[in-house]
Amino acid sequence: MSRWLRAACILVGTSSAFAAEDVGSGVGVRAGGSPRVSALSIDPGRVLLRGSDGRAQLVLTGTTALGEEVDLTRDARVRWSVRDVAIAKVAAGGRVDASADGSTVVEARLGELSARVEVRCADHEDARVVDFATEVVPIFTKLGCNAGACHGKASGQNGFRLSLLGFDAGFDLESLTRDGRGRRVFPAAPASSLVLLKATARVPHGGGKRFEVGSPSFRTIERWVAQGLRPSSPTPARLERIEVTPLDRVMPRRSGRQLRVTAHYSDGAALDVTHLAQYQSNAEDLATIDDEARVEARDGVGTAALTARFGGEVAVARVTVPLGERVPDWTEPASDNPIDRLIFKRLRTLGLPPSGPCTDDEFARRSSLDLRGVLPDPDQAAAFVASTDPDKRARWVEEQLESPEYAEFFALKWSAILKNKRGLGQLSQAGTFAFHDWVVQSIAENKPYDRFVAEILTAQGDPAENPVLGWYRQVSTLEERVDDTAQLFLGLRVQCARCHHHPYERWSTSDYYGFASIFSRMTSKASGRPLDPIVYVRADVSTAGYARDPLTGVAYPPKLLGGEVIAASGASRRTDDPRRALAAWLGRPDNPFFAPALVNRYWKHFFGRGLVEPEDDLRVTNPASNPELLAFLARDFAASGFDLKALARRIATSRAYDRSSLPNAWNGGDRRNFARYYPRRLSAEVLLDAINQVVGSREPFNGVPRGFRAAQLPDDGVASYFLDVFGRPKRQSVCECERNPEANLAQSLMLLNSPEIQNKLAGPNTRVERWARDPAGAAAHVDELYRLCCARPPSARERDVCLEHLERKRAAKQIKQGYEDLMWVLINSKEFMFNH
Amino acid sequence: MLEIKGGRNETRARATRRSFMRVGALTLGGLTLADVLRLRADGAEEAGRGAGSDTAVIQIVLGGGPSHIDTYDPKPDAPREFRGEFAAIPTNTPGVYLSEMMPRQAKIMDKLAVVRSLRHTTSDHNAGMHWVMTGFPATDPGQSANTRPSVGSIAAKLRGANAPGLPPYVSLNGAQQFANASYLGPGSNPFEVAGDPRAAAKPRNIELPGGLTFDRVEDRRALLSKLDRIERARDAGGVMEGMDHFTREAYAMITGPAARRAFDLTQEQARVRARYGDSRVGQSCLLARRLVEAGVTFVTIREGNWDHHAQVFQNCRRMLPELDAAVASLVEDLHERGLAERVMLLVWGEFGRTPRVNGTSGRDHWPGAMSALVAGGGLNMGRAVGATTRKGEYPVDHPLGPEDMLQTVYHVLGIDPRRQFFNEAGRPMAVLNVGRPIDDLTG
Repeated sequence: MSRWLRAACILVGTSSAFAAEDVGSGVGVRAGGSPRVSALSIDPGRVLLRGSDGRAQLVLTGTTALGEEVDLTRDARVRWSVRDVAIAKVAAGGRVDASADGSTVVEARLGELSARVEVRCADHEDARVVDFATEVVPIFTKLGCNAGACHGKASGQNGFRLSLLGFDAGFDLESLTRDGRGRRVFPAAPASSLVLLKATARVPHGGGKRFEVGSPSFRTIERWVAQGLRPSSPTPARLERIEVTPLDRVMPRRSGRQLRVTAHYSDGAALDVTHLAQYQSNAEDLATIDDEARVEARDGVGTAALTARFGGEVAVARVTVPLGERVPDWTEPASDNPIDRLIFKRLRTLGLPPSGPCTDDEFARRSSLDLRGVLPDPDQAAAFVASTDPDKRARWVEEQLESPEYAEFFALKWSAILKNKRGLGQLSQAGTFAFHDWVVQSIAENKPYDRFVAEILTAQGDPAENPVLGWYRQVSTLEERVDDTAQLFLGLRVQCARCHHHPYERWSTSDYYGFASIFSRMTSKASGRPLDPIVYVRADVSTAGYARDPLTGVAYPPKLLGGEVIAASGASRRTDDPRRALAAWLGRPDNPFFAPALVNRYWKHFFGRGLVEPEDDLRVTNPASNPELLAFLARDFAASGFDLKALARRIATSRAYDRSSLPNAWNGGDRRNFARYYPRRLSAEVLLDAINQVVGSREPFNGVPRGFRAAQLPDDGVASYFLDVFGRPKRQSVCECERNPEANLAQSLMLLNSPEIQNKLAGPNTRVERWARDPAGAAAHVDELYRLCCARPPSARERDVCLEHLERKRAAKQIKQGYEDLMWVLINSKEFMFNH
Repeated sequence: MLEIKGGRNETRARATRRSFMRVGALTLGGLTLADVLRLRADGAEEAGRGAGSDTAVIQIVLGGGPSHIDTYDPKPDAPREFRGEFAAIPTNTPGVYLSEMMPRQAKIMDKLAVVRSLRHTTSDHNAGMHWVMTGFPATDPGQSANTRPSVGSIAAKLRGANAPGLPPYVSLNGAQQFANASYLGPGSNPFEVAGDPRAAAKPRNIELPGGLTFDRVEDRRALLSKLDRIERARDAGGVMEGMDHFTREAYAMITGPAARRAFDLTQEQARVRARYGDSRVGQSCLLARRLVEAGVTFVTIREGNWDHHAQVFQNCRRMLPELDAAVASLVEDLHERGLAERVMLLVWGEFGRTPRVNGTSGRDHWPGAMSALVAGGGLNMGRAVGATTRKGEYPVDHPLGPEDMLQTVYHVLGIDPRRQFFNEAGRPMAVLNVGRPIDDLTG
């Protein structure tokens, strides 16, 4: 234990909670309609303030007679006081600042109730040496100086560069004390150091004023300069972890709560760093958090994760915000599907009543679109609706899963994120088709997912014989292989660690390049076909085959992410391939990433939103909205032998999946708890196929057999303006977010006013033409039109509107135009364009 | 030395730091209608602070990379195998010379500026074009799509159109390489006008398709409003409402006069049309002028193939007179119409060409030096910015990159280049975090 701390660590005193003597006549504290507060307590139990800058945040909690907790820290009626004002000051809101060495007591009083905490201040003379890494660097991080938008970017800002988010204190020291000829610090007059002149905007600073002259941050830096710019204190205490309290709480909507962050050091010290840490909420519609760790619950309902960062350490608190309204009784739909138990339990906790079940019409359309990417055949859908089989929805799902379109549709999804494309012609088109076929085939035969991925990751040889090499062909650089493997198959975004420590996660550059060494011995040789070289792994187990961090030159042995170093397999240098160890690790029970990443991706496929969002960014600081459900699905998936169809079946036959999209009086704003089905616009390919399906036309794609549907295209190398404006991905990103769901003007123009659509409607051999030739069947045609487009019969009103239009057009001898118009209207309706 | 620059941006910097985080967060989840409207409001708020509120940019991209020595950076004193076949002629700005193939621009040099100290480091067409269009080199030489948004897409996203009923960003002469929006989403891609403007080319889907009349469009619209009745409340994400919003905008564009008039070159007097020259580039420039006048914010024109590995002089004799007439007429016209302060013109390619003429009388790829022509936009005119060595090989000093040129464009557009968007990997990406506006133009 360091000397300064030993001096400071004579910690005694306890916080005491004093119950009110007269609960009945005490002050009537009511928060959110909860009963009267009967006791107060202060957290933490004792406070140590170190140095003249010492500061701590107290949290004052009231407890009601029913045992409910209310955060009163910032309650205006609370009177904060300190017994010896020479020792410390306390401000409204519970912030304590040191004034002199010694100990005193801070009291919070609310009417008859009070709570006290002992505060001890030490080292007020600041004799202690400031530690650059643990005290100065966090200031730059807190104030955003070393953010990527400012001095933290690789090129710095106006010549001054800091390590991104302060992960390299040595670099920052060099930059401050030596670069720019040492002009940034001025030990002879520390307060006039350029870094302080800039930060206080006493000289013009592009980033504006970051703190005041004489503020705690100012004084810390000033003191560090005055003490001679030391790289570290002589007895530095390592930051071991940070702790955020309270860890997990329920908060009413539109209420506030104070969090506290404590830093724990290797010498046993625990110091308040609430005012130095940075905060972030993963769900700003639910809860926001300000610079002082004050959480405000908003209008949304659900659980938000609040991340605190300090000195490279991260801690996460959760707040659950229930609806908090009186809702009618509701019962969970009967189900033996474990998904439903977990979904409806969660909705119960949140007080959020789910929507009722969707109609059979809606279910047929929804599940057909989600499982096959095509609209249901009207006759089959009608038979499904008419069936009285209690198991009919499960049977219907099974039929979808066994259809050829199922494999094609999921292959479309996978091909995009596997980046299969022919590019500008530098890659062979035959290889693009072959890899696409391999994906379709794998999904059709329901290849276990761990094997599917293992085959991709361990591919080698001649692409003519092994089409799965298509992935390595397109994902061609070492970095891309690392990034894509992690993001696509493990749900980890590790790109950041290529150059610097991941800002929110545990991944460092050594993790990154260790993982890279799994792929670093891959190479290729001529196959006789210049576009399709033979891929193999160099037999080289020396360190020369390791990946190197280009910034430091350090080489790292192959290592699994968050796992062990891969030992060279002793069998034979020739067969040694660390990719095999990676592939074997995927399906192992101790792999914490592989199964959750996939089930979350599939959940999003069916619900439009992942349990974790974005779906491929799984990390401690971005937890699932329903962690138990994610854990169950991952376990279930692994136990099934990574059976993708079983997973799709499990989800699509749940009561959660067959909720109506129509909100009830309470769940209209819900976008994360699955209280109802969230409608989604049909994706580019599915929409185009659906239009052709209802019109009875074929898309004239170039370079593929006639009659090819958009969902069957192997890549984006087949030109289609329609697909592009509706967000077909360019297959440049491993993220499904490249498939853009946004509305835009070009889409509206395309649907409303394009020759493409008009020519389809007016073209030969369409339904429109057939209907126009049959003047007697208008009502039947309108019925067919609605069953095609919306998978339901028209309402009486809709039928009337349509027939009236047809009648008008017939009178004008334009009956074909009449049908064109109706088809156009249905194609342009949101009911058609959305899966709902 | 103390740095004293940058102070004037203080208030703006603070306001936008807040807003760019918000914009970034939105891009993760897709844009809803409310977001679109808020973004517009943000843009308007920012624009309302003065610079850039209604400015526009016309960019002419000379794809393939034009020879700098034979155009804007003549080297009359260089040996013949460097200076080539063209003489240098004086301009109406003392001390500034242009190639003799640019006589009309020479006459209005006081309304132009040439930037001669541009250079970058890639001689690959793709990588260079991506750099010029976005400010960043391509990450992969074989890449066919933007990995960063183009400058026009940024303008579309952050500024929108200057007037309702018009698209914010238009690309003339068809699809242009790297003119797209990347992670900003296809809503910020350009409206492409395929084909030659002399043949009355229009952007897609603004003209009524064959077989439709305005009456029928109105008839359909009325029918749609009766039948498109699914409850919008089902979609809390707001995409349905977003579509409804764009549907209204699309109708305004299809049936309203603004867009149709703007794209209709026949509205111009024959005299004006003739002045720009009966060439594709000439009529494209005229169309671009009509568009920015009507309210388009960014027009990019892809013009010609300047990849003259062989017969560079012969090709220049054929192509430069058209370009010269087009550029000079456009600049004169912008002045006559009082648009010169509001509209910036930028003419450049992806790199320069080798100073030494090769064995086939051509010049090869040369990123060591390239020129750009600039006019208007409230920038300083009548000057040559920077200079290259005697043989036109490299900038003499203070080399500039495409990123500096684009910083200057953002300066004119009133866009804070520090604004950030999240890319597909969730990484915050600044509009442009390298380079700085060219002082000689903006100072």
